[in-house]
Amino acid sequence: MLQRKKNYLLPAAGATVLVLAFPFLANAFGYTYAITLACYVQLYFIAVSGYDVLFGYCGQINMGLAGFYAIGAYGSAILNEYCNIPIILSMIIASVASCVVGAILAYPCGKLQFHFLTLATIAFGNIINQILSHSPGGITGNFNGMYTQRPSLFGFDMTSTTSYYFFGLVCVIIFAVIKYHVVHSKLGRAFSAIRDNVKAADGMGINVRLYKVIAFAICALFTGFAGSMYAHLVGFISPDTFTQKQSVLFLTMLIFGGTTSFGGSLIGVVALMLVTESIRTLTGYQTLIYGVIIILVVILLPKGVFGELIGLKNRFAKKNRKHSGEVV
Amino acid sequence: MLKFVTLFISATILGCTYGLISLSYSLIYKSSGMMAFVNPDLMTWGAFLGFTFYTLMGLPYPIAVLLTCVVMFCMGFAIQKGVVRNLIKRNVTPMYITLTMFAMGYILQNLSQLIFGSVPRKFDSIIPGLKIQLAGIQVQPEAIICVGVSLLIMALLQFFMNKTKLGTAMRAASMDPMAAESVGVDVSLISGLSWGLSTTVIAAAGILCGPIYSVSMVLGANLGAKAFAGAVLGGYGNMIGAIIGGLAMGFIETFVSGYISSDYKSLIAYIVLILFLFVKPTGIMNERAIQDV
Amino acid sequence: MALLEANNITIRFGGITAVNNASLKVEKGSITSLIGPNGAGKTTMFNCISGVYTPNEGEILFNGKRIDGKRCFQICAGGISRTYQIINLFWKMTALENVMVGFHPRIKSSILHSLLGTRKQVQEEIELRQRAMEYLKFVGIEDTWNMISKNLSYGQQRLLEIARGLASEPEIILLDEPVAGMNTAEKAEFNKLLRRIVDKGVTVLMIEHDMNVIMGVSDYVYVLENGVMIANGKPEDVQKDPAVIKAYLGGDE
Repeated sequence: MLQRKKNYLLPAAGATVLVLAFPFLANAFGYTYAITLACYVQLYFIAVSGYDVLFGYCGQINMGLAGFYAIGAYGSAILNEYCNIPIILSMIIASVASCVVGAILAYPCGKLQFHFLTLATIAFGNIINQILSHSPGGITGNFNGMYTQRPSLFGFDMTSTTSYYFFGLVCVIIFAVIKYHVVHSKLGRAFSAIRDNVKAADGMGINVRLYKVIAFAICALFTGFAGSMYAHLVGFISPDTFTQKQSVLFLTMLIFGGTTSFGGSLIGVVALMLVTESIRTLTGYQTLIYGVIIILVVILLPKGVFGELIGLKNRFAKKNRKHSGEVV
Repeated sequence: MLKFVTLFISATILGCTYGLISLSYSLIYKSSGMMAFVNPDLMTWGAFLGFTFYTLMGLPYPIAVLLTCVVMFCMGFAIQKGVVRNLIKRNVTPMYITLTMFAMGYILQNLSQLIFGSVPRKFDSIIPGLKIQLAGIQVQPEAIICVGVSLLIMALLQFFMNKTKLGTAMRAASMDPMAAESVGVDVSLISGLSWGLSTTVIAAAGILCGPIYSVSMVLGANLGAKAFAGAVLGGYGNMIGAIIGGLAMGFIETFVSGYISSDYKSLIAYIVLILFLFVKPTGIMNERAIQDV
Repeated sequence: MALLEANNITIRFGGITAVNNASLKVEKGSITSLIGPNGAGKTTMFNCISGVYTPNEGEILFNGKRIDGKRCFQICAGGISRTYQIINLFWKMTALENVMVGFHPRIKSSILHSLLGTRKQVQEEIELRQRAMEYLKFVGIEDTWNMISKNLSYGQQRLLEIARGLASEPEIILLDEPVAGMNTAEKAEFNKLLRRIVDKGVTVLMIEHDMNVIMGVSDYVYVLENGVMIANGKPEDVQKDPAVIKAYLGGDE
């Protein structure tokens, strides 16, 4: 890994400069909307990275991701609105809440076989959506949705999208580091073991039920935080966002880019964001296009874009193998 | 009392519809071990096709129902042969098959919107002028037809699966494809037929409930998601269980919205679904649900 | 006191009795073999010891403590490791990673340390990699460390399973038909490996069909037929036992 880093030092430095300079460039050229999109990319990246831990590494499906996304978004918004908790803190509390809900949901889910796990998580997502639409006392504003504010940190106001972009960047780095640690530790190995062979994992001393719960909780934490970032980015949230389709979108991003990698998640998020933006005007065809994309990915890119690229690279440049001593 | 009878009647209608949908899920689960997430949108298509044949083309209702069933049977057969079988051949993970089903559902839903528009459509009255009194309540003739035909389909399906040669072959093919193949059952053909049968049943549900509820592009999506609760409640994959579970869900949903609040009717369906999965995944009929470690 | 003791084990599946009132004892530092015709209930017995099944009757003692009824992962963490008759590797991982999974119950860093990636945890990971390499070297497949386990040869996969089993630092390792599918050269090599495992201080209990392997290395042999222990003793005694000869000639071996 270290060796590889040296080889890619220059491109990495270039990318860093580009990422840091991006909002200023966008402002200079008048594409301010691009900054908002970049913020979307950041929060989707966090959510998809969390999903990667659950699905890519642990092999567990969660079609109720939108539910956790909603807990993060509404949780943070409500804590800020009704309890006057500062926004950064409310985001953290909301994502921890999402994490706890994820763990609680995962325990009974742990014994369900694939298809029934799919159903249970779909049901969970729908339950959350129903609660948002018919909340007790109308705390979520029901169908009317609710308005949210931009955070401020140590007096540093983040009302401008540019400052929010940098805030998001910090969050992305924090979560990427967490994911890196998860993946490169006994946790990641246990997850992969469960994905590859549940029976053998059990036999090798891995508490399968516990690790499934942890994987779910991590996924819920990431998604919940992404949800709260979303809430304070757009300024308005309504139940329409937190539907089954959002869950499928996350999953599509993940498998489009390719699982078990950072690059894959990034490619998937950026590509689908671009698609979403370019078909924004084609109202009436959006779902159709999504459907076609999913089917194309399943048929043409079973490993995802990143996975296929790695496959190509390995095939053509076998000499690079000697550097790849890292444990995935 | 009047309210109770009214609710009872609408619960029966909804229950029969759920029963048919759950049956179609069960058929696919039995024949290929998959969850048919594409089926709800096929139901919408069934309703729209029925609407086209009956209201737009002016064909008699029974003919419209039959035609719809035939078309949808071919569609289900084509989906199995064209998509599902190819995916299985490629040895993709079950996740991808599930995702493809969702994708097909999206495509079908969007196509139905493009073709039929997003405004809900109303069927013409099937027997104009006919008024039926039942326990002091006026009942639409469409409701009687819906319940009657649904029950008839359920009975026929039971007979077909248990008493006919083809039905037996279908059950055999689902239990042990290799063994079935070795005694001369064309498993590939049979699973195509099972999908066809399943889509026929769900399309029938669409065209039967279409005249009662108005037909829109989310008809299937709305009812279909909740019908999973019925299927699980009865024991996923069990035919009798699907009917019982579907009916039960119809009653639960209708009475909850009648006596508590209509806000909670969908919520209650999903809660039943998740509770049964957690507490009794084998359902009322104790259908074996495969569990992980 | 024997290291592992199974007393009067009975296991039933529905109406079928797979193992009927069978007992065995494994002394510390020995190589004990469990032989018998196909379908005799040997693997069932193993599954029972390793926690896949709970026996209907009888008790299993490990270091004098009851372990029957515990879950697989608890038993593995407690010091009993195993391999499988049908190879059960983590197919998408490399050989090295497979062994590293074996370390799981012995990893000192807590889940929180892993999440935060503390220095101690990172240090431990580096050590684990080195030790995993040592285990691969121990079974003699160190040059395959970076290969995906699915692509290894059959014999290498069997050895990798043993390396993975040893990685959890067990007191006893259960080997289920370890030489099945190996060629003669590999079998000879395996006999040496068995000795090395015992020298390491790990007791071995194994199921085997191959009489040559059994008789050469075993300290003690149990013979199971139709779920009943029909004989036990030193290899040379068991070999002469008329009941064993009958079972084997009548069996498929």
